Amino acid sequence: MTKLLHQLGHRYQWSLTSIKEDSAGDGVIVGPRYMEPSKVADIPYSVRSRSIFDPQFFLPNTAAGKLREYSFFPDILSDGFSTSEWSIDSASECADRCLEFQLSMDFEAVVIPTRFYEGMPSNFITNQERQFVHPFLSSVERLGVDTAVYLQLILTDQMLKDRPYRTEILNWITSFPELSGVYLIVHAHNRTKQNADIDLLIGLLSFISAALKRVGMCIVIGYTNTESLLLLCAEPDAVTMGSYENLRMFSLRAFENQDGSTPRGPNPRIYIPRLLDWVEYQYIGAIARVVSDLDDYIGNDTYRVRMFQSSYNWHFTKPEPYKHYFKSFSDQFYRLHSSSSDTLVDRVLAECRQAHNDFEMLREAGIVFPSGSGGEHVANWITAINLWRQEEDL
Amino acid sequence: MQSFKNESDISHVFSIESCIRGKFNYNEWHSWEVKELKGLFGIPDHFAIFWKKDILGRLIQRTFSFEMKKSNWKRALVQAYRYASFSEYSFVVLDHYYIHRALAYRNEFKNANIGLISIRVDGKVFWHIRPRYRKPYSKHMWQLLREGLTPHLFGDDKIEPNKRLQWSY
Repeated sequence: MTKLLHQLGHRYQWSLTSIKEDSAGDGVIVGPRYMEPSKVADIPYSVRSRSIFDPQFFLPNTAAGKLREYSFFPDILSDGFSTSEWSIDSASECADRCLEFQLSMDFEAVVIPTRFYEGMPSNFITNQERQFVHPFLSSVERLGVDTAVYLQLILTDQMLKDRPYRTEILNWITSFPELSGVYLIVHAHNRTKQNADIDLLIGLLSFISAALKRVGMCIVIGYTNTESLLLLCAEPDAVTMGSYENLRMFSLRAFENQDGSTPRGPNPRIYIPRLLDWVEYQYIGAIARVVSDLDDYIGNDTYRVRMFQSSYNWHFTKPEPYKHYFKSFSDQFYRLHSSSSDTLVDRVLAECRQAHNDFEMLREAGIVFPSGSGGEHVANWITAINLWRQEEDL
Repeated sequence: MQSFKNESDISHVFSIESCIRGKFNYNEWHSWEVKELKGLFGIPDHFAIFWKKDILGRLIQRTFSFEMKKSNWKRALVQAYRYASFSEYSFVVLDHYYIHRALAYRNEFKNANIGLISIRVDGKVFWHIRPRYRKPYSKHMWQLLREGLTPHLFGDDKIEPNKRLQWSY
């Protein structure tokens, strides 16, 4: 059964209280960029034991934010990371410390980190092996790790769309008997607020189902937005939800050295389960004029009630829109998830068709949605699921 | 026929006062007009409030927002629809040179109840779609607008931008 994990980042407390108070989500993926070690230890054991730790070595030469408080982070360990000077000793020490930390926290599995590579480099596998995979696997053996071991991967949209490249990576991963799973992050260029790239979605669904599931490996997909629901079709072991947008679509920005400029805060948005999309909160009034019962669209939980009080001060730093998302999205997820494997794909498709029809109805009623925020992704999702289904002969 | 060089040239030529007062028979109404009203949903290039008291002494007010674009009517329509969250009337104003593109899709404006005006370099205004009266669709935006402007507009204070709302004349 697919689990729904919270991708933790800035304001991680919202996720933890959401699990505790609303039973929204099955666990978390801890991100040290925004969380010092003592705070990781403060997460209740009951949650940690259902969670994993993402070491976030994406840019190993940049210890952004709280990453500098982790002695095993490459830039801290080597006092300035550079690929050419990353010795076997440094790599081994990094691996030992990183795995010991993860083991000490009783996570469900330990994660072998990865670094980010742009495009489709021909030396992707060689570099990953040399810098992290081999040192960490040696450490797994040395430390006698008996919990599950996941390999983290960041695949670009180009890698996932290219079948031979994808196959090469799959063959590589499955060649390690020590690995029981993969923690996959997708990095897409030029993506819109929702993942609407049909070829990428098919590549991702195929990656999950065609290879990893068939050889019995676990697969956790991180940094997912509402496409978590679409990915359910391939029944991965876990997908994620997150508060701020940078936790719902992977970006390196938060891991780079900040130039001191503060990005402009986004206009607050609210998740509408029935539309499978987030909309700018001002639109709710327009939608309410068209639909007969707004509760059918956004639910009626305590967060919704709070947000619609006239004194509510809408701002992107307020927790209610995100807690509403966690609650309503997890309800939607569990509802679909409770379908049997035989009917799961049809139920996801039915959910997509309803969203597509609802968007059409709202447009016909005169609501003008901005490009990229008007449900355009839903038609692409339907196409991606159908094409993938044909490929898989389901 | 000439076209405008950029949107600010259109904005320079455009005047709500001359455009709206006659068209809506607001000869007896007071008005207040600003440019680039910031702090709500989008930034209308022009914004105006017209008001008067009815025979029972009750205040009636009407808000108007305008989005200027040379030719990109689609983006302008999205912006103008945002302004309808706090304005009773919201318009797209295009360079008359490019208006034929928007007119091919006039039903999109009608359907969304967004007005469409074009303006020529010499200042002549062409009305294509006049929107119907409609209450702003966001209570929150409407409330912020009222809280930000009413004390200034209907009090004795000189009208100045406040912390939330900013504008220029």
